[in-house]
Amino acid sequence: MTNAALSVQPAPESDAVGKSFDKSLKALAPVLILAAAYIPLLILHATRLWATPHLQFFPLLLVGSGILAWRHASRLGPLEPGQTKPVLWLLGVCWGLLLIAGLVMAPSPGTMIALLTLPIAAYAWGGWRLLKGLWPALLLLWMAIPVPFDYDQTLIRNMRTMATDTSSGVLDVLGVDHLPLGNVIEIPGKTLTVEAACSGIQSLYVVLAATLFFVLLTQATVLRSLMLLATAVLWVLIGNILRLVVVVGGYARWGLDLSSGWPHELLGIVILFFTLAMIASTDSLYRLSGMLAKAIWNGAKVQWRKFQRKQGKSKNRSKTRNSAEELAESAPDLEVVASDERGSVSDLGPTRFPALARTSLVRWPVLAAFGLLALVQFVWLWPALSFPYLTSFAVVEIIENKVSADTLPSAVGPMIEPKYQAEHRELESDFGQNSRIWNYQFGPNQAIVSVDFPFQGYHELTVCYINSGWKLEKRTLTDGPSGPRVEADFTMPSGRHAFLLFQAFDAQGVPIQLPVETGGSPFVRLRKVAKSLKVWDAKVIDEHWRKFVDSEQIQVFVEGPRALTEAEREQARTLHDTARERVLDAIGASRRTNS
Amino acid sequence: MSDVTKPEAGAELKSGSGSKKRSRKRARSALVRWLIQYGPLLAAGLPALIIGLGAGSVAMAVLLNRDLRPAHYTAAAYSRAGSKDLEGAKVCFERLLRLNSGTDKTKFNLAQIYQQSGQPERALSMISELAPLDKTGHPPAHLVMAVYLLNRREISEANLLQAETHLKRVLEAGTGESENARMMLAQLYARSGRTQEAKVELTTLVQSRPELLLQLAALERSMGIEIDATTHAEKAFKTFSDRTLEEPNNLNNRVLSAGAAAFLKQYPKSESILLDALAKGDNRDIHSALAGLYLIWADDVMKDPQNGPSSWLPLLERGIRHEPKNPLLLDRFLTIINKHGRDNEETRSAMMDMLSDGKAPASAHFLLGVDAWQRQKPEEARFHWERAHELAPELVGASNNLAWVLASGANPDLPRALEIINLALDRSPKNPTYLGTRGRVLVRMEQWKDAVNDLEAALTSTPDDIDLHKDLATAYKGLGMTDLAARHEERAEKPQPTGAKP
Repeated sequence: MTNAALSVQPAPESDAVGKSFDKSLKALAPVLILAAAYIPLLILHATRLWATPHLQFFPLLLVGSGILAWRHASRLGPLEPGQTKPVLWLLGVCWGLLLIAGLVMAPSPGTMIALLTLPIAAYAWGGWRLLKGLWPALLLLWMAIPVPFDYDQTLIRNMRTMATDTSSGVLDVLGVDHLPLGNVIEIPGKTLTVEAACSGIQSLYVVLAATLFFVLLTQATVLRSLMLLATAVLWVLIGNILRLVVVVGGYARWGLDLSSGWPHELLGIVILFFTLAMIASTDSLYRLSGMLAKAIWNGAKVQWRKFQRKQGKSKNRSKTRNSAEELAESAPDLEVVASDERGSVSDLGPTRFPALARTSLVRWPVLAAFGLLALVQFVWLWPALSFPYLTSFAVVEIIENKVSADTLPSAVGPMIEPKYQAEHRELESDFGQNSRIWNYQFGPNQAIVSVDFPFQGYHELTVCYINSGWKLEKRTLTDGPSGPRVEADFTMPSGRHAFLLFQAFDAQGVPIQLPVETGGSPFVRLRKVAKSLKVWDAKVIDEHWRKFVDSEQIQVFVEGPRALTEAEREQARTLHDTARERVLDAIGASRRTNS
Repeated sequence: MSDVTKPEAGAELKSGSGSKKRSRKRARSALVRWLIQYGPLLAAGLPALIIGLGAGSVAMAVLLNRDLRPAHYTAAAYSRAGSKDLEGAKVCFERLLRLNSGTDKTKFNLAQIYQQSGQPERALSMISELAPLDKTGHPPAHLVMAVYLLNRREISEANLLQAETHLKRVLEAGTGESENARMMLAQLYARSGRTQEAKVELTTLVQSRPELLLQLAALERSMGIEIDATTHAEKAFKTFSDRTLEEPNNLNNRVLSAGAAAFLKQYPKSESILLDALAKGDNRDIHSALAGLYLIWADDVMKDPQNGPSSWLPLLERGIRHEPKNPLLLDRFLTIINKHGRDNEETRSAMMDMLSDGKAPASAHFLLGVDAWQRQKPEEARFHWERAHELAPELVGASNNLAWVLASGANPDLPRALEIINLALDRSPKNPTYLGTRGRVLVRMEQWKDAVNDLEAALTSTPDDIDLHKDLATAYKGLGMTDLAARHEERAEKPQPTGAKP
């Protein structure tokens, strides 16, 4: 980035920010029109972030971004607007992208476009100098974008597996006999579930955001920033291994249950502060290392010069600059002092923005285009935003009010004497935050019917069982009149067998379709994205809308000492059919397909 | 010169030590400067450095410990299984399987843990995987499968065949379980009438396990090969008599030699061996063996119609003195009383003697009660059974009879009758006679539905019992099911041979 184009001229008095309220409002109106086009998708995105525990900290990003903006852009002196032509071109591109994002109801891409628009707006209003001052603040905001294509779920699973495996190794070293089964650690007399919260994903996002804020605030060099971010991941992993070891070891050795309730929360907070403290401590080490490296480099240079002088090989001795100065210039950039301290950004006095009217942002074609887009977005996305739509699909409320122990019969074929229980778990639990469970006796087996909710869209339940220590032997998909149903066979090395059936529906009984290919190739994903652009197709529109509704999953899990016979499988299917019909009847699913 | 030189040398020395001092001072001040400049950073970075190094060391320990885990978990699993820590043993065995170190032995032990933890289906599933029928698997698993198949309530031909295959797989493997497998195979053959094959297996076995000689002899006797039976019984007698001489305190050898003598019908010799053993110290097993001996002795004597009751009744009495609650003896006593037409006065006299001796008061009261009942003296019968029940509540026959007599007659004590028969059923829950008695009590208490449950259960073993049909008719009338009541009344009116009640 160059700042050669920056010309600092005192802004005319008339261009200063208006003194009266009316003037301010007038000046802000164009900004509001521009922002309005982004707001619907931003609201949807914020709603999603709020529903995702590991991203619930996003309001802090706004605070952090504000602090960075104040820190780096409050004394830029009088500013000049950027050039009009590139701004208009770039705004045009953003307008087009935002329109597409709105049509396919994609909140994350919409937010990304908003984050791309912000630097354009900053350049348009205050030129390169403002953009340069605001870039740390704008960069931090990108932490609010989740990893695309559900890769964050993959990340959660991998981190959880890594945390479980490594802590298992540590427990072995400590002599704590235990059995790790995917996300479950079994010790004599107790089974401890490693929930997503314990995987480190929550602390990873928070810690990375905090580290990024720290390096941006101190304007650390790129090398130090990257090293610190990489180290932050390591500390998060160490922290979570420590948490698991403390929970399991504490119970095994002293019977101390830190696996749930406030002790678990408190332990999590302690570990988070420990992680942040370790990152700060590591930063000190990096800074010290940088200083030492610089000192050693300088010392070596001085010795080299002395050596050269002694040997008389120095040809331009008289012209040689002071060695210390030269060395200072040629020293490697391992340091670490904030650029402010080095005086790279000069204090030009309080920042004075040019009048918006002078910028390319308030050209009438721009305002007209974005105003029209705002109107389109609000109309198009209104169903997803509006409260009545959400309540009609509010799975949690409907199931909690209408599904009870009596919803399922006391016997289905040979499956008898169901034991009913309602379960509430952590928000990010693999098996859903809530479950209504009927545990039937089925000969030597247990046939468990479970209605799990809420999920957003499709939820691949087989992965959850794999994470619980089961080995997937076979997975088949059957597509019947009541929607697609997955059947899967599992085994355990200890000789247990299981047969799983599951389907997902929204509150109105419409089956949730499976993704084209879970974990498919980029080409398949791109093809899917291209298909989703057919907004003139009612089916495609319906699928887009469905992204914002909650779903419930109805599963039957038959577990026993041997694999089920074909007749028993058929009985399990009958149980699943019965459960589905009874549950959908109970919740008054009006759009169900009669099977 | 020396005056001049000395001060110069001293000055040089001084200047040398001074420069050293200066350089030390310089070094000190450099260190102080360094500490002032870098100290805070170093102090702030130390925690990360120390904990990071600690984490690295732990990671190294984890890596080094990887290969040691199977050995650790194997030791822990067996140790926990040994100390009956089933949960802990399960965790350790399952961990071994997860570490891919699970041998068939591990799986078999895990299955046993499941069995002990009340998960028999899971255990069976695992063992059946270890013991396939089409090839030789884990020999102990084959043995367990055979035991499971042979212990089923109803054994089909297919079960027998599978059990035989499993046992043959054990023999094929030729491990330490072979002897047990051969013995079970012999039992299986004997059970299914393949006596010749059973004889072959037992003949092989007796080489190493002479305690099976008597079993072989019994088999041969059943096959009509009396000479071989006698030969083997004599061999057993000699073997265990010799062993008794070598180990006079080994009661097992004495019991076996007494058994061989009894098999050879040398009852006095057998009695003498057992009484000798008893003289060495009171032992419940010897009493039990003596009771058994007197029973078979009496049975043998009774076979000859020339022998009167005076020849075998004392034998039964001696038996009941050694084991008053021996069900076989009591049963034999009752059978004798009922079927052999023994003079009641003589019986009573014997019982009175037993009472006066104080050897078996409960049994004596019980038998006297039966005698009184047969003499149509229910009050006297009730007295004796009350006494028998008080003295030995575990004598469930007496409890049953007492409950019956309490529930019958003009002034029944139904709550007490129910309490007593429930005690009897606690000890013998599925006994049809006791169920029938409780059914009668419940009929008298007008608890029709429960009464029907018990009476119908009792009827499955004695479908022609008049009393049961009468009680069922009353119960169904009480329930308003007149058709069924009429049918039972009809059955009750038909004269059918029934045993005496109680």
